[in-house]
Amino acid sequence: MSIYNKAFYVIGSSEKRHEVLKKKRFIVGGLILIAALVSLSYIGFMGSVTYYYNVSELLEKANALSNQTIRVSGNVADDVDRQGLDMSFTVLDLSDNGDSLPVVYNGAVPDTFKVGNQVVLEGEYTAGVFEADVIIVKCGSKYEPLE
Amino acid sequence: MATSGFVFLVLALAACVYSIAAYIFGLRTKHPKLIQSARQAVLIAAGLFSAAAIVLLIALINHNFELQYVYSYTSTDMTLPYLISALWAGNAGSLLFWGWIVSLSAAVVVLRKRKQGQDLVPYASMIIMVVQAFFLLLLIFAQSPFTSYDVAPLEGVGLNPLLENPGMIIHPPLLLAGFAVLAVPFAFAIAALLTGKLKDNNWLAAARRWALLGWLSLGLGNLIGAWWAYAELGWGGYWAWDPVENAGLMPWLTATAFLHAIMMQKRKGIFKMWSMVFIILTFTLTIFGTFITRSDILNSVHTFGQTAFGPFFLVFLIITFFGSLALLISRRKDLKGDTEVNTLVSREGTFLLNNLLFVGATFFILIGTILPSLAEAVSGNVINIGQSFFNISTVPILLAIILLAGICSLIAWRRQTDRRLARSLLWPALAAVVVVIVTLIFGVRNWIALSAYFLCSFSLAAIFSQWLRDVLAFSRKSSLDIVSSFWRLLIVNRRRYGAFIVHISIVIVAIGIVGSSLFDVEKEAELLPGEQMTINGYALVYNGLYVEGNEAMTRMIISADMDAYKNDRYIGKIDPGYIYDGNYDTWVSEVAIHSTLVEDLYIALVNWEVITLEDESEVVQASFSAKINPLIIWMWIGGGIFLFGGLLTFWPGRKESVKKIEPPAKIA
Repeated sequence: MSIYNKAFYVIGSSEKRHEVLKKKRFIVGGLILIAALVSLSYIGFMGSVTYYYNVSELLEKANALSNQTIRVSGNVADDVDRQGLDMSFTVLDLSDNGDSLPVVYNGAVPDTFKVGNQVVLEGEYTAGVFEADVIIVKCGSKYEPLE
Repeated sequence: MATSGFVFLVLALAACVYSIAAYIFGLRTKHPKLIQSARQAVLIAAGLFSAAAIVLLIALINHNFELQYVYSYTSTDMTLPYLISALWAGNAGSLLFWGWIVSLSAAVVVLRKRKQGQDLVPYASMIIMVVQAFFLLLLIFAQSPFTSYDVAPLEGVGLNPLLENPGMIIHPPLLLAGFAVLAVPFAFAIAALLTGKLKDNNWLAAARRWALLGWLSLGLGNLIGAWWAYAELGWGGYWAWDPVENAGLMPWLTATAFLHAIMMQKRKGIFKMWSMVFIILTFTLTIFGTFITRSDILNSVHTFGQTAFGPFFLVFLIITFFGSLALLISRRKDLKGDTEVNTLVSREGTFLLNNLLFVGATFFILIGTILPSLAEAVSGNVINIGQSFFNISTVPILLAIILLAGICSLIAWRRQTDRRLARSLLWPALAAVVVVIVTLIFGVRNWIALSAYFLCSFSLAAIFSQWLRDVLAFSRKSSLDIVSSFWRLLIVNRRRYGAFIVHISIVIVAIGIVGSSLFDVEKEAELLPGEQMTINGYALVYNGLYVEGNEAMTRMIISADMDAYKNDRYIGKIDPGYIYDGNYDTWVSEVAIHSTLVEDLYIALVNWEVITLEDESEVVQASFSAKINPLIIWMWIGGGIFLFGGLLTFWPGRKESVKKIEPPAKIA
């Protein structure tokens, strides 16, 4: 094949070049879109990940975990004290090893909050007390019947 | 009686298995008699499944506590609607309901005589039978709703009082039926892949109606679920990006994408691969969603621990997903589009972008949902992904989709001259700017809200302007007056205007979501009788607490008597309170909601205690949590419009004309 033919073969007609350019535009646009979305989600991700501990782990790592938002899970012990909008109670470690964590909370309490139920608390651990901002209780067994 | 239900399930499974075998052999050897008997077996299976469901229903209504299921979810003091709804209240019952709907759908599929795609029916029916067999296996071997006690208890446990709400009667069956019915378009897609009959798009005609039905059901189910959470659960919100909620949302998103993709496929012969991918994803996500709810693979307030179902679902999931993918890849040559999308500024282009956005949104929701489990499996650290992840990653995508929904009605097929497009976009853009200025005047400074309102107003204005243009053009052509033209168009081209109505409803729901998410105000107070709390111009005066109970104290209602004022004008009594259920030893908060088109006033009674005053008298101090949710009622209004629009697109028209109406050349 002559050089001229080879060049033509490689570059193609202007129409084909136009097509290739259009395809490239799509691909580049698509990649930019994907990059934008991924960075967006990364930002969202970083801002919203909270580490989740059970009571024993929290007590163990108490110093390292102070003053940051974390989640802790445990069973509600039977010393719930409510005064007005304030509530203080203790959560026990899920494995029943005796470890317990004092909690204070202010605000509306979910209906399913009861002594013995498993709760997830989100908040900060400061000076030996967990200040909960959010209480999440396992949804009353919809699917498993009460024993 | 219990045994008869179980026997029906076993016989139904036998009929299913026979049907599958007969279809396989009949289609292989081209033996019409075998196929015919397979078809009969489908009908028999549906009948048997229905019999099992009816047995359970009768047991529930007659308080037959010999059945463990009836004992666990009902009691003698429940009213009929709740007794019926107990059918889907429990794990086994909800799966029975799902499988039953699948069996009924299969029966309808084999009974319908269709003009296109009749040859696909045996293959599709076989696939639906496989799905049905899966559910029957679950019900027979993992957890049967028909296990019984030797001695029947005298009274049942009753319904968890949290679930005692009309929303909980409708929300689960809508979701379950939506999931069930989506097996049909999936089956037709697989049938088309199996037979290789992909050139003629016949599977689309068969699949579309079922997909639309499932999509409508899921959409409504999700909205009603959100409404129930808002009105009943007492935290003032309606969506928490919990895995179970996501499980209902993801298949709905992919089903929406599917419906759009097949529209393109039908008219332009493009997006054939996309359609396949979307329907396979949709079906897979329905199974996946239930899997994560019924196993303890995820940390969610809605997971119910290790039920026996987990492994079954996982295996079924792997087989269907990878099997479908393998089939898809083997047929990829037949799925090449008839033409190519080469301009973004065209209807095809916006649909392509639309597809990508839906995939993106679903992908992020999926990642956010399963990442904690993956992270735990890999690193041992248990993490929680908060709502902000979903909000930041998904909301921009959803807003972009809303923008597209508005633009797509204005944009023409193939290339669009930039000038014409710019002109048709001008008025909606101006309207949106006006709206933003008005909201700025009202003091709104939140730029997220402003952008969202801009996009929503733009979309609404775009759809309305296109609709108006169509009506004016039609009125000119047919010499009818405006109103008659409007009705005529609506009746003749239900698809187009039904779609407009659905898009409008989505934008309205979005407006409600933006208002209530970004501008909600919360306040708490502890009040003695006679004292009041104020929030955003409302004043709430607490008068006292009242108690009602039955003799045995198994049920008590405590309510706070409050008078509400808005800007010093009396607007009525408000009575937030609690219901106590003795069986479950649970207090259920009954929030009081005062709704207007502008905002909801939402009040929950948090706590109460007897206080002794200085003069030795005793009064009840009550604590309240009040919330203002702006614009939230538009979510529910939008939901109603959604239902109407969806039904309109679904209704068979006299002339199923899919012709687009070209905007005339010289409209400003």
